[in-house]
Amino acid sequence: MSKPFRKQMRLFPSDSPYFEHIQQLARAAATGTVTVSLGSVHDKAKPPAARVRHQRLLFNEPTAATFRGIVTATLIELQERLQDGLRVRRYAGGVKQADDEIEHLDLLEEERITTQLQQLATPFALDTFSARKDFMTGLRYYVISIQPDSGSLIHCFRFYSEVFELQRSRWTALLNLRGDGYYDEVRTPGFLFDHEIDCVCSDDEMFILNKAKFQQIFRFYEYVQQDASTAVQKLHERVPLANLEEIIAAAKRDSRMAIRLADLPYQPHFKRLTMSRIKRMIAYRALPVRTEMCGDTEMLVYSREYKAEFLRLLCDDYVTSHMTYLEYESTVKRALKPSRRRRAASTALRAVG
Amino acid sequence: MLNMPARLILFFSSYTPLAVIFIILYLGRSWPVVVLASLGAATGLCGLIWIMYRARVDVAPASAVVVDFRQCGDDVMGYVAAYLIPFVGFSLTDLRQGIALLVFLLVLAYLYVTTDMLHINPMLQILGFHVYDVTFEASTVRRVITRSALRRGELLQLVPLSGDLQIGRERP
Repeated sequence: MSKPFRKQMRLFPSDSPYFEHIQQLARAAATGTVTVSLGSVHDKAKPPAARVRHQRLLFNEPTAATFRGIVTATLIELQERLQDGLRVRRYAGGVKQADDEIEHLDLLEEERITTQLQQLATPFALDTFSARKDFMTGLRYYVISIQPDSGSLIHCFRFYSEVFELQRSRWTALLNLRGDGYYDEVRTPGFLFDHEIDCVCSDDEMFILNKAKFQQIFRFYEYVQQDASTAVQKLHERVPLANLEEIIAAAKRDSRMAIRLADLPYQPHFKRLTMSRIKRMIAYRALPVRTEMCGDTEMLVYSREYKAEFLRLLCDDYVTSHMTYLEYESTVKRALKPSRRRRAASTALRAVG
Repeated sequence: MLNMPARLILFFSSYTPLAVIFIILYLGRSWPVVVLASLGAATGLCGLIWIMYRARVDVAPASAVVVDFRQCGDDVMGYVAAYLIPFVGFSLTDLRQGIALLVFLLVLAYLYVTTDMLHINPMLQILGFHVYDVTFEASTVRRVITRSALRRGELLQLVPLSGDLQIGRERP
């Protein structure tokens, strides 16, 4: 995809370029050849490149047509939803995905995902699935890859859980193999595939339809601990933290906290976080969060007793509606382009400090 | 992917030319040899045609862009020279020589089906197939058996046969 196109998409995230792009993908997917591979993750494998392995399933042409149908149906539905006002937002790790939005991620900015995708560059060359125990235990997702007649590969990812495996599913499958009303339990290994897709990628564009599953597929929960530690360090440079190590340890225990902290430096409010503003909010909302003096510096104190409030405070979750003047606690926030009045107000606010 | 019986059929098919030579040599001299060689030749030929057809029909292909390729003909010439021509001198009417030939064939069959030699088969060339070492995108190299002549930049449909061996399928 051309650079100006990508730039345009960033400027107008919910405008037509996405629609056209999805339309192109849907058209290309309708006639391409289909490969389905299973992705297995082994966190302790060495070297790190061997932590994710893919194996290809072999099937006949009617099965390929079914998978092709799943992809095209999803892309067509996405097109229709875009026409009905579905918003495409830039990916933000710590922000909850609303029902009326999908997210877009530029893969050039995410080296870790690109590394994981490298193996899928030539799906035909993947090893054939062999149902070995070590591969099965790490099974995390499957990928429907479509190679159009012209253009780049389209990869559609779906998070895998044991319900997709016939032998481990909580459902029991019965098949009419002998006819005349005899239904026998299926004891041969097999998979079930639903008609959902969690994320679609082509070239260096990733469209995220189900963020939670996307983060599980690409192991964000594993990387996020490391990112959270870095984010806490960055926060400490802006707002002195009395017990830095304790916050990092808490993030290691709680992946949801880690995700929110890891995304903090990329949030628009981060650059405006100051101790005085934090203290003002603590006082305004009468929050239990404490500060303490350490020499000449005032520091924010973390305690597990007020973990939720501490996190909401840092993530700027206490918001006020300018329409109704009601106050909310919201974890789903997207920065909007500031209005002229708001720009003037924030200039004044900055002047006040 | 090929199972063991299919691999064995491929092995026997590679000896179809030798079976034909035996038929010519023993015609009118030893009918049992002629009958056995005819059966072997027919099984090998039909088996090969059936396997190549099923492999291309049973599995949905993947496709990849051909970056570069090299035709492999040396292996087949070596195979013919080393493993087919020496048998021509064997006398199949002599029991000792017959058993010796059988043992040698069994060893060869074992090596053929357990190592990556399935593409070395003179019958493939006789039936109009070409064997190429093809470099695809991401520097992936695979051995491809195909009926059509390859072109650089072409999107080739591929069906796995065994290990790194693929069958190139003509686009419908």
